[in-house]
Amino acid sequence: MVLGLVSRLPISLFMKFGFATLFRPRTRGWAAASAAIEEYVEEREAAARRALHLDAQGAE
Amino acid sequence: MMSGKYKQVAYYPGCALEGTGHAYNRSTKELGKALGLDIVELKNWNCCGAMEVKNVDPKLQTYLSARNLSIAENMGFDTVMVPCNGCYHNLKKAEYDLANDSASREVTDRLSRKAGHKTYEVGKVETIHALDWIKEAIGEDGLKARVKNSLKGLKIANYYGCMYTRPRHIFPEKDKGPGSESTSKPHFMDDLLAAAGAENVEYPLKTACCGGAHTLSDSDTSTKLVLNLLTTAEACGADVIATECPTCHSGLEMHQMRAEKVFGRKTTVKILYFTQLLGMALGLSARRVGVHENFSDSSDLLRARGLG
Repeated sequence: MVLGLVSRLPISLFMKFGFATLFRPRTRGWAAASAAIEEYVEEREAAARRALHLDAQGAE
Repeated sequence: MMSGKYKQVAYYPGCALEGTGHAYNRSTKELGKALGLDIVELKNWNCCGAMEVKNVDPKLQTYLSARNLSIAENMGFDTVMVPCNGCYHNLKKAEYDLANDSASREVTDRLSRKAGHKTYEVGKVETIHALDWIKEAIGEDGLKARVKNSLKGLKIANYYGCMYTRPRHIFPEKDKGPGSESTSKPHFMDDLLAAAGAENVEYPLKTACCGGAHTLSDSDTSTKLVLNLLTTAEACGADVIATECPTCHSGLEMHQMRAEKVFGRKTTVKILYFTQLLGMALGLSARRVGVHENFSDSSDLLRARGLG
C-alpha cells in the first residue's frame, strides 16, 4: 500500500499548488477585509478578557 | 431531459478542493463539461470559515461565507453551486443566520463596509450542493440517456457525511416530500448513481460522522469512526463507498491506511467521489476524473469493470 501510494503521488500537482500559492493566489484585494477582521477579533477578545477580569497579559 | 434550471451557476470550490480534494474539483468540472453545464468560478473567493473560525467567533464565519455570496451576487448569479459539504453547510448557515439573527447582520454589514464591498442581501443567492445541481439540471432520465459505460454490477454504499443534512433548520428546502432531499435518509447520490447503472447497497451509516473535525487532535477516535464506516460498507456488500465531501473522502482514505497500520484492521472497499463515478459512466477516462489523485487505489477494480 505504501509503495502504491508513493508511486501515485501527484508531484506535479503539489508543485502547481506551490506556484499557485505564491504567484496566483485565489483571493486578491484581501487586505481591507483582513484588517477589518483583525480589528473585530481584537475587539471581541478585549471584551472577553474584561468579562473574565483578566489583564492584558492574561494573568489574573 | 434538461430542465434549464441550474444550467449556468456560480461555482465555489472552497479551500479543500484546491488541496486534498483536488480530484473532486477536477471531476466536478469535467462532469459539468460532459453534461453541457456551465460553471463560473467566483472571483477572489475566500475560505468559508470552515470549522476553525467558528471557534474564534461564529459571526466571523457568517461574514466570510456572506462575502462569497456577495461576490456571486455581484457577478450576476442567483445560484452558487458548492461541492464541499463544509462549505455548503457554512454558506447555508450564513444565509440562515443573516435572516434570523440581527447581531450577525450587524457584524457582517460592519465588516463588509470596512472591507469595501457590498453587504450580502439575504435571499439574493441560493446555495446548492453539487448533488442538487446534477439532480435538478440533468435528472435521472437525462443521465440514463447519456450513460456510455454503465456502472452495472458495481455495488455502492453512498456516504453523505454529517454536514450535508445537519442541522436540519438551515436546509429549509429539504424534507419537502417526494422529489426533495431527506435529512434523515438522503438519497440524491443514490438516485444519480442508480441512474448510471450502479447497484446501491442499503447502507445504514449514510450520515454518520467520519471524525474529520478531530482527525489531528484525536486520530485514534477518527480511525475508529472511519473503520466503522468501512467495515459496515463491506458487511453490506459494497465494492465502493461513494463520497460527496472532500473532508470525508480524504478521512476515509487516510484512516483506512491508518486502521491497518495502527489497529491491524485491513479493509478493501474502494473510495471514489460520486462525480468520478458519474464521469466514468459518461465515458470519461479514470485519469480525466482524477482517479490517480485519490490515495485509495481503485485502479484494479475499475479496470475489471471496464471503467479504467
